[in-house]
Amino acid sequence: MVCKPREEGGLRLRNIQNFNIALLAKWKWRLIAEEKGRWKEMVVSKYGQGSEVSRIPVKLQSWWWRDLVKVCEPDGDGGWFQKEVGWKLGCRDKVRFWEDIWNGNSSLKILFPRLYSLSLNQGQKVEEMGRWDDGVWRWNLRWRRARFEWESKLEEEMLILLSTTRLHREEKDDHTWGNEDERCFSVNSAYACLVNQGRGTHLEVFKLLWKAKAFPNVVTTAWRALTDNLPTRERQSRKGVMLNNTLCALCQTTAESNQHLFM
Amino acid sequence: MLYVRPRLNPINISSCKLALSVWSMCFRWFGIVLAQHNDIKINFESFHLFQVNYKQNLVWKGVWTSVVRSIWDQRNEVVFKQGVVDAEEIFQKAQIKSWLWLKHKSNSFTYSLVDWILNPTSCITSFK
Repeated sequence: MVCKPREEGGLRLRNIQNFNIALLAKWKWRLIAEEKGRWKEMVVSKYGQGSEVSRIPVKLQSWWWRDLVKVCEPDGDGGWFQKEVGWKLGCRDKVRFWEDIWNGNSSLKILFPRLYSLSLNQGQKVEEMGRWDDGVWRWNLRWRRARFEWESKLEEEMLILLSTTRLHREEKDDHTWGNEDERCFSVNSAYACLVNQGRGTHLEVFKLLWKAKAFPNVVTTAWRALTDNLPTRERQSRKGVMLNNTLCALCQTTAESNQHLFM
Repeated sequence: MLYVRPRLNPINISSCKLALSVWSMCFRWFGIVLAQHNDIKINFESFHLFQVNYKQNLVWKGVWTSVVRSIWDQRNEVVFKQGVVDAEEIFQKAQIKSWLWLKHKSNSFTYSLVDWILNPTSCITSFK
C-alpha cells in the first residue's frame, strides 16, 4: 500500500527489496552492454560471459555473483530483465541466431524447438548464417539431416517470420533497454518495471490530495481516511481487537466505521 | 456567493450526525449549498468550487483535509482523554488548522484569523 505511487493512493515509498533488485540489475546491464572495463574482464575471466553456464561451483562464487544470477535468470523471477533487454540490430555480429531474442518477443529456440534440435548452427551469430547477395540478405541454414515434410513447413514458417525484420549492413549490434525511445538502462526504469507487474487504475483523488494546501500531518490523516486505513473501532474489531463496544465515539448510535465517522 | 457542482444526494442513513453538522457548518461558512455524498472519495472530489481557479481549489481541498483531521482528533480526544463531543469545537479547530497553513506557508496571504473566519471566500479568491 505505502509503496504505491501517489496517484493510486500510496505514499511512493521505495520497496527496498525491489530497489535492491533494480540496483543489481544495473550490474547485469553493464556486464552485457559495456564494451570494456577492468572489472568486467575480471568477472568474465572468473565466471564466463553472457548466459554461458558458470564453471565455478556455487560454493566458490561470491555472494554478489550468486545474487546477480538469481535476480536476472531468465526462467525464475528474473524474467522481467530479459524482457526489457532488446537488440538494436545492425549487421548482427553479436546476436546469436537461435538463442537471443532479436526477432519479436521470444527466441527462435523457443518458438521452433524442433528445428533448433536439428540445426547445425546452434550458438552461431546471425551474421554467420547467411550472406549478402546483390544487397539482399540470403539465409544459409544448415541441418543435421533432411527434414521431414512437416518439418519443412515449420522451416517455411520461420523464414516468413525472419523476413519481417530487416538487416542493416553498416551498423553494429547494440543492446537496448525497455521501449524504443529510452535505450539506456536506468535504475529508476528498472524499478518502475518491477513495480509495474500488476498495477491498478489511476485515481484523480489522490493526485489532488497530495497537492492540497494543508500541513503534511493533516494530509496524511486525510489519506488514511480516504484509503480506510484509520484504526476506527469497527476496523479494530475486524482485525481481532477485543473492544467493549464498536459504537461511534462521537454519537454512540452506530458502529464506528470510516464511512460513518467522516461523512 | 460561490456555486458548487451539484450532485445527487443518496440518503445518509449511516452517517454520524455530528460529522454531518460539522460539514454543514463548513458549507455555511463558505455560504454554499452542497449535497453530502456518502462515499468518502466522491465526497472529496465533489468538494470543488467553480468560481475559483485550480490553485485556489487546492486551498479548499486543504479545508476538507483539515475537517477530516479535526474529526479524527476529536474522536481520539473522546476515546483516550475523556473529551467532550462538540461539533462547534471540531469545526473551529478545522478553521484554525487551515488558516495556520495559509499564514505560514503562503507569502501572499495576509489575512488575520478573524478575516478568515468571517470572510473566507474573499480570502480564497485572493490566494495566489
